[in-house]
Amino acid sequence: MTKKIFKRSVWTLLAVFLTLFFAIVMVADGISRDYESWIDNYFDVTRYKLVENDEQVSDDELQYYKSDYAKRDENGNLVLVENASNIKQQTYDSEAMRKHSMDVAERVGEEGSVLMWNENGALPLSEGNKVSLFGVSGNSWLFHGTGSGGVAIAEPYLKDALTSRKLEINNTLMQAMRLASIGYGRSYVQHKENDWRLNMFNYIVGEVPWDVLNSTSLGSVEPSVVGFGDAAIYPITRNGGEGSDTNMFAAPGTEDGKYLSFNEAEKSVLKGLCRLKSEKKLKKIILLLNSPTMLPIKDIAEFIGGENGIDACLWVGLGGSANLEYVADLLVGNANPSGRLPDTWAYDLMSAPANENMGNYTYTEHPDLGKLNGWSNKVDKYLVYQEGIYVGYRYYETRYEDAVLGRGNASSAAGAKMSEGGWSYGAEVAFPFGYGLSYTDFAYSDFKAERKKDGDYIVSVTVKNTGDRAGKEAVQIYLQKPYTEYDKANGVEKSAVELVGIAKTDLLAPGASETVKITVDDYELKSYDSYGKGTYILEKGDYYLAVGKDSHDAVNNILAAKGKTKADGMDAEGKASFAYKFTVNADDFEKHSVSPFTGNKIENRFNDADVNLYSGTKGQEIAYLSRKDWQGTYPSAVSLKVTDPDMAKDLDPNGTFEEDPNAKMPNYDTVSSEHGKLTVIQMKGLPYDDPLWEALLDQMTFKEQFDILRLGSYNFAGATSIAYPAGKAGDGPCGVRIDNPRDYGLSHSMAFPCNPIVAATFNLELVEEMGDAFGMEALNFGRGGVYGSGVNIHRSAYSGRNWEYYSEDGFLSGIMSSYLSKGLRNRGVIPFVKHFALNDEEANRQGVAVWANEQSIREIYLKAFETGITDGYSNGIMTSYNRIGCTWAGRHKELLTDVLRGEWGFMGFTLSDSPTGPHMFGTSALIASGLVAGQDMWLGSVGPKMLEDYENNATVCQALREATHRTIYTRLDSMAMNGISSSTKIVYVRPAWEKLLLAMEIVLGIFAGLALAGVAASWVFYFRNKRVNA
Amino acid sequence: MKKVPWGIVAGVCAIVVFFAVIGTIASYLILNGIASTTNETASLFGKWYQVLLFVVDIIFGLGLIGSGAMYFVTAKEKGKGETA
Repeated sequence: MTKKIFKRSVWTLLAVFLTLFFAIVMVADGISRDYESWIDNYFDVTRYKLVENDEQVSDDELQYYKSDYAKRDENGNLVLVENASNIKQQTYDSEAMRKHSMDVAERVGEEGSVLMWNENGALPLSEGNKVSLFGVSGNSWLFHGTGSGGVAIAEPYLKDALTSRKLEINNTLMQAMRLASIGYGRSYVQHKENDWRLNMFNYIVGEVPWDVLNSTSLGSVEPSVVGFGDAAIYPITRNGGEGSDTNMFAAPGTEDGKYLSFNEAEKSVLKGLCRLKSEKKLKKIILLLNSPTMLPIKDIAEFIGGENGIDACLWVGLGGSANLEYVADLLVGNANPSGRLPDTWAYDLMSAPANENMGNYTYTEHPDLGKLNGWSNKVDKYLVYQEGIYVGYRYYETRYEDAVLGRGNASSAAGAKMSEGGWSYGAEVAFPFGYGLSYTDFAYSDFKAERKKDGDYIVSVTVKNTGDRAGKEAVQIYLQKPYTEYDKANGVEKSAVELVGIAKTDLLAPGASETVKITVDDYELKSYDSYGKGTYILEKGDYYLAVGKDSHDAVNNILAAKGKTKADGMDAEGKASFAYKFTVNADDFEKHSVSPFTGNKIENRFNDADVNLYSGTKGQEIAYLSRKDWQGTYPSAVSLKVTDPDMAKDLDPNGTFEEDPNAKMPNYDTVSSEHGKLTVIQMKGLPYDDPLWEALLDQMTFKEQFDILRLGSYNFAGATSIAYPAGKAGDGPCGVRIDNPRDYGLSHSMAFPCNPIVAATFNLELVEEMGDAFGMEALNFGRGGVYGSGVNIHRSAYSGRNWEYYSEDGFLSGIMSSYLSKGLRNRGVIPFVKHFALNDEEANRQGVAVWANEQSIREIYLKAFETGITDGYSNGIMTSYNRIGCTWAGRHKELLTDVLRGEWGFMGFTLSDSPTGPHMFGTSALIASGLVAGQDMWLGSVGPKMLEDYENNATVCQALREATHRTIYTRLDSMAMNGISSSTKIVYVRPAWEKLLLAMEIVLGIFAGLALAGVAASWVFYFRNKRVNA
Repeated sequence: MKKVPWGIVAGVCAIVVFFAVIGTIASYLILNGIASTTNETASLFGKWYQVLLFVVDIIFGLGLIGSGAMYFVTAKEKGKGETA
């Protein structure tokens, strides 16, 4: 018996197994501490629970932010339930809420869809029309892009939406499409292919070519099309998403190998349809562009219009849950499209100068850039915004004006992709920024502008519906600033027009009119002078405010006001009466050099991002695109190298920061208020600088403050010492992405239309309404923050994430984001406007160094963030993965502290993007330096001991205290406080997964110990037996 | 020829299989967790080390079956021998 029990091999194996198991659990436990908030989020658990509340205060009073769809009992009181933190929350009529969300989303889609052309009134279709629905998208519509913003929804069919609008559908064709897809496998299905080796993915168009469609077992579909020949509806789909740009892979069947281009299969279908039309077998061809971004029109130019071409085209974007409803309503005329393009649609997308420097660039020479290099920290990659401010319409319209005025070599061949014999606007641009048609017509009159006493301008114009259908009109006001000799000498660039005001009319009945008034802030008149005064300047000269149907129309109106006509080279006559000229008599280099929001001085903050000013790139100066000489400065791929040791050092950060000699160690765990112990809710309504805040922060421990900073992965950590509740956040930006909607009584999440469609509405009230509905969705799912909206710029059509961003224009992006934030804030939801900043493409986003001049950074890219913040609505910011110059955006003090807070007066808090690159969080010093720079919270992955080295560093501890202050102050004015009273007590509860790990460690430790003892005993017995036997 | 200790071989194989299975499951869960933040899903064989873990699972699983069988066969023979 003894021999059996103490068999050495058994005990040895057991000991090895248990010791290994024990060690693995120990290691896993250690690692898990670094990813606490990820794991909490994964298991949907909370660490903070309410154990006591004020019984004297009614529950209703404690619901500071309410949903319109909160349930009430027969006495009108809110029906509340306790959530996982034991905090009473509203219950919701989720289905009614969803119905409202769908209604708002549908209206956004209708007002954001752009009618690109509509020959002979081809649209709308009539009830009872027999139509043939072509294309793989007819069966598999794309509702949202991919990545963190992509919301999974129910996937209805376009066919059903059309049928419900009393259109008759060609079922034979639908069947042939299905057979073609099945018969040929995945080739004829839209899909995405991941390439894990390259950490990117490809989108496959998967269109069924005309000959394949006509060679299924059903034979030719043409006879069926003849029977359903009132119209052929052909949707074209393009996808996009985070992680890959759409030019990062080769797209088969296209002339230029680009995914956004129309491929041979699609062209074969268009060719087939046009032939049927020429044979009188088909009356109309309707194209639907189910794409979030602009497409190269040159590919289909031959099919547009004419007797046998495509009659009408609607850009409908990726419209989310209500997509098919609004598409169907627009097609049959239940709604009238009133969207205006948020981007310029060029014939050849590569004609935008930004595309000369878009994609993957590696320093041609660089030293070993250190251990931090790798897939998640692209330290050897860079990107130069050589086009300066000339992004989108700013390029095309400015070059056009200069061509008309005969200035700056504008008509040279540089940058011409489609023009012959020199650059020509008409040959390059298919549809200008702000362009869009309607089923009715509008006429403008009585354009006026006047200067108010405060310096702002009131612009008014009367819009009359001259057609025969009710509709809305988007009114656009553009500004032209003078391009002066000073500008030429100092590298200040001026766009021919800049959008400075928008408004949407009410629904105007035929014959009805409305006078629209728009205020243009005199703040818009300034320009940033990077190389001269190093601040914003106002220059003397002639300024113009113009109304236009689009950006090009506005330029033509300004040119007309300058006395130019078609004889001078204009492509259309402008209306001088639609442009208002005013003159600034003297340069003013002081007025705008001080922030109107904080009174702080405005000066250059991004010299380190300009290759012409940064000391580390000395000798590698570049010429930014300038209207002074379009030919001589037209961009080409910029080659950079890392030869300066300081630059190499800056790229490989060691986390140094400037110590504040006046910083004192803060108090911790101390009750310093004369009122005794405070709770967070007592601070509600107090200003940020109220002295009581200091007492509240004194009560907290270092660990509590650090937990708030580090546990930000879809969570907000609480703090027991001040009864500060934990909370949750969710991915945006076009709906709350949630994996378990059924837990909340809904079959699916709600996807609102993608941001380009939102921008295209040009309707601020509607966007606020969408934000409000979005906010109620977030309340329903218990999310106190959403990661959106996305306001990076459509610098290139090929940026993978364009579907999450609004526009190529900073003003439009900013004002849309501002109103969306306003709506979200109505419901107490914090919008984390992202990605701050210069994250305008996906290639190498984790660490790529972006180089740009300060004028373009401020006037184009930061403008989109600034508006929502200075309006006071955006109180959350998500910082980006990339570097600005050599410094990670989340550690760029000038960006996060000097500009964001110092100039714009931002009172909210900043959250990092998901920390996946070591440059964001790899060492304690990197966390500390980020914190000191102004980063308030990390989206997870920061371990509990990461700031241990700085627990006695006054500079870091004060920065941590300030970050905590900002976070609490922001969350205090949010739904996070629902259910919290001044008597609330909150306790910390270790989550079950941690308890399980601890239990496993104890049990395995004991058993491993026993097994090792068994091994020892078995050897003792072995030697004893051996001795006895001997 | 020296006798092969089939029991020990089986035990070693069982340990490797156990941890490889745990590794396979854990790597899938972690990768899926990471992928879910960008609304993606991970596969069991998306990364080279997942494939390696799976191959190890198969090889040592077969080893476990084989050595386990040999252990019982030899134990049986040994038992017969003892009876004889």
